[in-house]
Amino acid sequence: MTPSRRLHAAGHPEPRRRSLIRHRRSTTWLAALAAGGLALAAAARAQSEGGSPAARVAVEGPVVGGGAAVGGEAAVGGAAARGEAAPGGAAGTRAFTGIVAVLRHPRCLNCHTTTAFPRQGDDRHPHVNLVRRGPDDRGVPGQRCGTCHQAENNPASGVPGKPDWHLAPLAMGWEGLSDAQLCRALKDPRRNGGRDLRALAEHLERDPLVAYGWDPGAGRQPVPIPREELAMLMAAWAGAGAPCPSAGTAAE
Amino acid sequence: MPELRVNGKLHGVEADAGTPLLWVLREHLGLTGTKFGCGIARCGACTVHVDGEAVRSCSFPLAAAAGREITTIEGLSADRSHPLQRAWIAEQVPQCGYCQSGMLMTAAALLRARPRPSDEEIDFAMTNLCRCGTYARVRRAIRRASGQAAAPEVKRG
Amino acid sequence: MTVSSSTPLSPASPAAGPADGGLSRRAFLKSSAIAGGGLLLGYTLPAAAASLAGAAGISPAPGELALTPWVRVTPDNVVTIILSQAEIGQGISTTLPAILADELGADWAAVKLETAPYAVAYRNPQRQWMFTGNSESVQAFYDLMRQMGAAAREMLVQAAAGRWGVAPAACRTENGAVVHAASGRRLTFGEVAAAASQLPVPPSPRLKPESELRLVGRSLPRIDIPEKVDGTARFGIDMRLPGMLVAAVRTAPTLAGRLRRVDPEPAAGMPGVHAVVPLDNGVAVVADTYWQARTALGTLRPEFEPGPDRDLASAGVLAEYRRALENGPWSRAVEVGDLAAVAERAAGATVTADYASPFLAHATMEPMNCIVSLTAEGCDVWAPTQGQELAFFALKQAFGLRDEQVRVNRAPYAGGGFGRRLLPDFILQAALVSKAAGRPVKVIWDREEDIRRDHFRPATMVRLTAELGAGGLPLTLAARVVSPTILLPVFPTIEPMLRDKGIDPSALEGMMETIYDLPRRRVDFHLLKTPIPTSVMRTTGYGPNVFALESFVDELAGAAKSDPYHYRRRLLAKNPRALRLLDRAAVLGGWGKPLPRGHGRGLAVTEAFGTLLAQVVEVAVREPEVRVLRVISVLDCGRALDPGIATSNVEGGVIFGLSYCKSEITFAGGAVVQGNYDSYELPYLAEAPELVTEIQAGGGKLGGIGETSPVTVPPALVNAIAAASGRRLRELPLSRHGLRFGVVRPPKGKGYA
Repeated sequence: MTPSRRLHAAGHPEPRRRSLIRHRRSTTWLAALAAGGLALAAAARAQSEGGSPAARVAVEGPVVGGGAAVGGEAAVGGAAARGEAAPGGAAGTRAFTGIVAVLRHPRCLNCHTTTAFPRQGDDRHPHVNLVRRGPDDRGVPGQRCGTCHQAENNPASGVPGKPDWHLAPLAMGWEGLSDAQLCRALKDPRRNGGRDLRALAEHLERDPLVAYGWDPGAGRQPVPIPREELAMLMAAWAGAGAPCPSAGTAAE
Repeated sequence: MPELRVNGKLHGVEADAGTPLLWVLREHLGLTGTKFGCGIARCGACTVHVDGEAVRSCSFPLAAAAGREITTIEGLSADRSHPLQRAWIAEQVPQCGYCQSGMLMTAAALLRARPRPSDEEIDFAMTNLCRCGTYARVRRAIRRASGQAAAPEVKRG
Repeated sequence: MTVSSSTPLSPASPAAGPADGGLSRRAFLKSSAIAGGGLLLGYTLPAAAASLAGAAGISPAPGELALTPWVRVTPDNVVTIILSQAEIGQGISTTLPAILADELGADWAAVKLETAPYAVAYRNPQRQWMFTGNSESVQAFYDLMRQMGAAAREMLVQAAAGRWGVAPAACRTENGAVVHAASGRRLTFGEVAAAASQLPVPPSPRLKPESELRLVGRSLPRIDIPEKVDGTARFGIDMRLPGMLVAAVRTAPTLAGRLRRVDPEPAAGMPGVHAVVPLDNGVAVVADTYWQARTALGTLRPEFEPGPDRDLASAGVLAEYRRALENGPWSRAVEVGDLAAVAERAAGATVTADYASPFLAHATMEPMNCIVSLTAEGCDVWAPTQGQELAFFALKQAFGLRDEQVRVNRAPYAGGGFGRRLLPDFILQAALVSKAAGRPVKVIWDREEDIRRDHFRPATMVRLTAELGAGGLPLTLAARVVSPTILLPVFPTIEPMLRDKGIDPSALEGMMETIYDLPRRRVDFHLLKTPIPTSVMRTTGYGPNVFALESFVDELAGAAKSDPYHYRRRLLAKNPRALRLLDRAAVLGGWGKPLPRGHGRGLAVTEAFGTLLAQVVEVAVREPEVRVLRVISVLDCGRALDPGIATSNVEGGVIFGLSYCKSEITFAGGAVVQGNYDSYELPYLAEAPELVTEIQAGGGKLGGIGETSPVTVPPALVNAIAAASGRRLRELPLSRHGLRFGVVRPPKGKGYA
């Protein structure tokens, strides 16, 4: 029996919706991967020279928006995905636009919050049951994430699940960040769990909890591009030196 | 036949692996103290302990229970002697009582992690729903069981 | 409902019952021994199971009044008191037996309780109907409990006195024994029960003076609480019968939907499945366990006719209410004084306002469920019910059964009632399933069925109009109330009143009388016809009507440039009892003391269910959040038979009243929109205010307690919000205004804030 229809919690203002990015399949992803692989090393070197960390955004209270990605076609597929070199890192920037659209998708952003609580639903309302992050990102004493979320999605209750369900640490909070800020946060080992680009790609491509984004259970929109395509974008981005946009869209 | 360890005893259970632990407890083991309230992990009436942690058993499949220690309200004590049960009686907490098994199990998990919980910790741990509205007494009883004075502070400013 | 026994609500009853409270009328009780020589007042009841077979068929002998088996004493000195009223959380399973035990002189610590089956003997003596509701169990049964206790006491005393050769007057009872003070001799009830059971039941037993009562008036530890902290309390959903199967049900998505067809094939072969039972508006699957039934049910693809009203939606429904509010037609329910002949009219000082309360769901924590065994021989029911008698008659009628073929038993506990369990709908459904399956069946509704097949507390719209005099006080008050019926589904005998007068008395409670000095009043009622199933819910008509009235009094105070408390003082000048309560609430609530910006206090005072009540609510508003910081409740229920239980009812009622401001039931496409606690949210502990509760005994008649405090919470809350923010909310819930409850103590700690 399907869980009852989710309505956004009474009283919570509904965030403005942004149209989801449309995805396009590229048939030359292999070429892009190859190019990306070579570029990863170069990019890692570039990253180790560091950049200024984006100011950590601590947002009190409900954050409106920061929802689904900016509409636009250029981000996914296109030149970067075809592995074509583009002048001045534009390919990398385009790839990043595709990546950031995923990062801002509710399935990701709902746990990459900058607040003491997760969000849920495609409308990103604050998680029901007064759920809080707790001291270890796994809920508070008496109401741990694992109180309800188990190792697999539960069709009986409608509660999604993956092993060790928990929030991304605050340092990995992405709400309210502009593209530029998000890019820098993503690459900064002080904020991304000490990951280099390869480990970052690994996280996005293989982490079992991240897999939830593509297998969220009934009533939830999955991340709109396949995980393999995200991997391809990561490779393209890394291959282009993991460039960050200079300013870019503010995420509300 | 899969085995389930509940309240210190081993039980053989013949049920589909996806059966919620809630219904295994109630119907296969006859432990009806754990209650069905919503089926979507919202109300907490189904709360039990799995390896000492609070779990909403309507959302916990039988398959996941293998090899774990399950404790239900029947196993909280043999004789109503758990400090929370004593406090619940002293403060006369229950009204209809249907939510109270889950309420007690959540409170017990809280006290295990936080022997002297603050009001804030109580607020955000005790999200079990009580239709009769026994919340003020639940709070007092938790504070009593944890050796704290009765009344919470309500900031007037 | 009004308390007086002259109410037209008493249904026709097949057997004569006591016409008034006179002791002599209740005189004729039979006593008989049970196996083992115990004393049973009324019947032979050897065992609960057998009693089920006989009780419904037991009728009073000619000249006798209701036979009432209320007390049993066994040779091992166990006193068992039979409980007629449903324990739904209100604590009646402690209070009524305590009254009897007190009068009897039993050892309260050793008393056992047993649930009465449906029988004429257990009817509410004022209504001649067996039910639990309307906050009137204590009022209705107080005298009877004392009489039953006194009668048993006198029989036991007489038996002991006979054995000792002393005068009964020289003996008394205490703690389960008969004592002869002069010689110090003692015999336990158990030791004399056999002899006592041979004695005639005294027709007019002497009641103890109040001063000798030891339990009544004290806060007793509730008899049901220990079982409710260790999982042993049995609710309806926990009961089990040998050979019983379990059923899960799915009914049509639309309110009026009908089953067109269902192919049972996908479910038929699934594990544990015994039957697929089509119903007129849905389908049930019967299996060995609930989860098997539910899983199999999920494989079916029933086709439904949406039925009429497939376009029913909240906007349209509320538009009908508004049309009725404007145009009527009206039935005049109250006319006091001559509104036209007002001496001094202050020009332009007419205040009018419309108030709206929403559709609400009972949403008892234990969803609807029951066990029915319906065979050619008869029908046996075990249900967490509040309405045994209605169920009895409904089953008889539905299945063409005789009185002695129907046995309705109440499960020991119900996980909340709030009036929902007065209705027999889920019992009739289970009977159909049992009949089709040929086995006893326990039907369990999941939460979605429970909410969508509720009989809702209906929306109400009220228009109030007052003309203010020069002093700012109302010279006249005219009320228009638009509501569907709430009483008809639970008391079918009021149908003539609805039909002929167009009035539902329960929907008008709170409007019929007033505590205020309002000598010129008029109340008009429009009985709205709606296909939405409606029924009574905790607070009955008092809830929506007092919401309107107490909000309006604040608005009148505003128009008169007066503080709401002082304004009410003037309105209560002729009601010292209410004035005292109001003053006390104001003191406890700190009325008038300065508050920080964004904070506010609101007041409400009323009389409901025979109890006077004043409440102060303190809030902090920072939109969209409303934090309810404190609620002060001061009640005068005439006499608090158990102050602790009264207090807990009031405390819990405050949270229940807040739930009336948090969520509502809406409709779209002919269906209920909400389905579970995700879409019909209840208050959290973290949102719960600090509570200060004072029960006063004003010495008047016994007032009801169970439904009282939720009545004043909504108006006191909106009055507080108005004080805090300047926003006057004339409709509920808060979400209609973009507001919501906030956590009272904003978190500060790491990981919390």
